[in-house]
Amino acid sequence: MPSTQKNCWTIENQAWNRILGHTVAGYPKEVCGILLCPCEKPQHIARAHPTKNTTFEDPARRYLIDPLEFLEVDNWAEQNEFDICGFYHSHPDHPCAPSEHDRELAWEGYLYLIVSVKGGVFDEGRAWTYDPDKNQFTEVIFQGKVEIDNTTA
Amino acid sequence: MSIFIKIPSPLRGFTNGLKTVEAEGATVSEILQDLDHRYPALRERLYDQKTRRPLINIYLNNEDIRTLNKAEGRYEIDLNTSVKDGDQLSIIPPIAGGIRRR
Repeated sequence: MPSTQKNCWTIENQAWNRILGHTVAGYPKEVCGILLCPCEKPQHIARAHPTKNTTFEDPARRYLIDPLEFLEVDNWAEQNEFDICGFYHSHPDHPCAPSEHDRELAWEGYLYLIVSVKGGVFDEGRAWTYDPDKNQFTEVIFQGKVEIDNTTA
Repeated sequence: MSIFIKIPSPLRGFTNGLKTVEAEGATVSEILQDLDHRYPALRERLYDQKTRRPLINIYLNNEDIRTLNKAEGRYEIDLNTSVKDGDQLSIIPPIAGGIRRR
C-alpha cells in the first residue's frame, strides 16, 4: 500500500517514542504537541514537538496549544523544510477516540493523534483526520511496524 | 502597502499551494479584506459564517494582536492594528480539544 494513499501514514520510532514519553510523564494531566512531516513526505511524521498545555480550563480534561509556540515551531519547520502536519494530545484515563470537543475544534488537513494513558500507563494510540462536509473523523492507518521503547511507554 | 501573509498547510489548497501570499492594506482589517478578494474560497475557513468573527489567530511579526473586549469578556483580534510595508501576518489555527466535561 503506497504511503501517499489518503489515509495511510507512517511515523518514525523516535517521534512515536517521544510522544509516548511525553504523554505518560504528563499523566494525569492532558499533554499536547505538534507533529512535523518533511515537505516532500506530507504523511510521514518524522518529528514530534512537545508543547505546553496552556488551557485555562481543567488541564486533566482540556488542552490548548499557545499560538506563539505554534508560530515558533512553524518558523523552525519552514527553515528546515518541514511542515506542521498535525497534533497529538493525551486522554488520561479515557479511551483514545476523539471527543465532541475535539470535533468542534478540528481542522480539515491536519492529523489528530490521541494517546490514551490509563493509570499512568500507555494504553493505546490512534489517529484521525477530520472531514468538515460529513462533520466526522476518519481513522488513519499507520503503515509499518513501530518499535515501542518500553522504558518511556 | 504590501504585506506578507503566512498560510497554514490546511489552507494552502485555497491559495494555489502558496505558503506565503501578499495582500495590500494599511490595517489588519484592510489586509484581510484584500486577502478575501484575492482568495474568496478562504472565507469559510477564516470566519464564523453566522457571527463573521475570525476563527483564527493572527500574529503580526510574531506579536499577538488580540485585545480584551471588556463588554463581552473575551479576547479578540484588533482589526484596526496598523501594518507597514514588508510586515508579516501569520494565520494560526486554534489548536485545542480534550475529553468531555465531568
